[in-house]
Amino acid sequence: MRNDNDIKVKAELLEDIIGTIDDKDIYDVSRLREEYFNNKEQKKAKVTSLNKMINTGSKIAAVAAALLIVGAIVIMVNRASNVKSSDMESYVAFDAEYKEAIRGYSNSAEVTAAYAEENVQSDDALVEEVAGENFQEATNVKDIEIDGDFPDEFVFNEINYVICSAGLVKELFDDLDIDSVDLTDTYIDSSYGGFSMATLPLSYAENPDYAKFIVLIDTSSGERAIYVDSLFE
Amino acid sequence: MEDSAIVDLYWNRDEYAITETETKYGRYLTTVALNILNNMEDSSECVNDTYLGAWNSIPPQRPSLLSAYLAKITRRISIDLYRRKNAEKRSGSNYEASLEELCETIGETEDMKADEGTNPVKDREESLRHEIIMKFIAGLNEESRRLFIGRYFYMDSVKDIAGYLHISESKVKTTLFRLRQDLKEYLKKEGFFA
Repeated sequence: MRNDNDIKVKAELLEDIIGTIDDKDIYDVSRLREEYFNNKEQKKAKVTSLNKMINTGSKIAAVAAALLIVGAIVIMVNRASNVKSSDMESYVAFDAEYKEAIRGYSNSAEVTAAYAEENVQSDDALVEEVAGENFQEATNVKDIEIDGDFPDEFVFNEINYVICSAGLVKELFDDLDIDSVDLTDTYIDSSYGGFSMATLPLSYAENPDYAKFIVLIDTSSGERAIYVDSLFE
Repeated sequence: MEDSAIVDLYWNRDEYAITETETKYGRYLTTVALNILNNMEDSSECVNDTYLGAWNSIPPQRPSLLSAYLAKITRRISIDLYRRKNAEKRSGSNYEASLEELCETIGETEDMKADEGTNPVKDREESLRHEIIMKFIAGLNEESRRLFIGRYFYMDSVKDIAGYLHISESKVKTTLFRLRQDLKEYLKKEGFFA
């Protein structure tokens, strides 16, 4: 009969021996780790910087952000639904007025209907379509450790917005001890293609030319996934 | 400061050696300890003990790869602390996950002869076992070797390993699974615990 304690002792012995492997092998991996963890630290520092920027951002920046959000949403919606440009003009029209625009988007039953017409069969296909051609990576959120670090999928020097479920945004920022992010600028459209989504402006004031989006999506099946996409090219 | 210069400081019994070590390797060593202990306070303590360990062992040692030398000390101290403090309770650290995986490998090797109790192994046996493991690692290709060391020396998470090896998490998991299978067969063949 297997003796669990005996097995553990052996495993610890094995582990002790692994602790004595050659320095050159350890060094080889340490170089790779150093680069990776340094990069992670830098990302963390950028989050802090971005947060400060959000807190001190000017009204103009806020308006610019709103316009970018609207533009991004329109582009995303356009890509996802294959609605013709002329059909999208009604969405673009309201870009001057922030609240008007958001209200318009929230009522976008037409978009959902367009999805249905496209006969999108699965959440994955739908998400991929939302994410667009520059879809980079999808990761089940269960694999992502929200332990104070943003997931690696976040490209901080290129992000302008986060699109995700409002709950997940709060969870992420709570874990990061970023308690001053104004979630009043978070917009939710739970009717959009069966997804619950929210947008959160992050670094809009810094460089709107690099409008990258992180898309964190609650799918209708209850799974959550992360997608990174550039919606402005 | 170059590693050789830091080692010279140790040899000259210059306490500035510890300051320089902390500046250059403090964060790195903290990640090693944190992976095992999952606790910042304990990890800081182990890293500080590492500096003391380095101070006490250099000289006579003159490590050419200081980062690896220090990591070994940190790992050893952290594991000892973990085993002392976590004899019963579970902490959810990467160390625990790593150990469980090794337990699985060994546990499935049912035809191996068990050691008598928990007595320390003799030096000769230890040396032989060391050689067996070194041979196994030496036989791995570069990526597998890095994966093995990342998981079972540094005890990094699958996500972090995937990050610094630039491969997918699923590939890390799959490769680690195969490595454990190979290790199990290898240990049986070599009579590791016989």
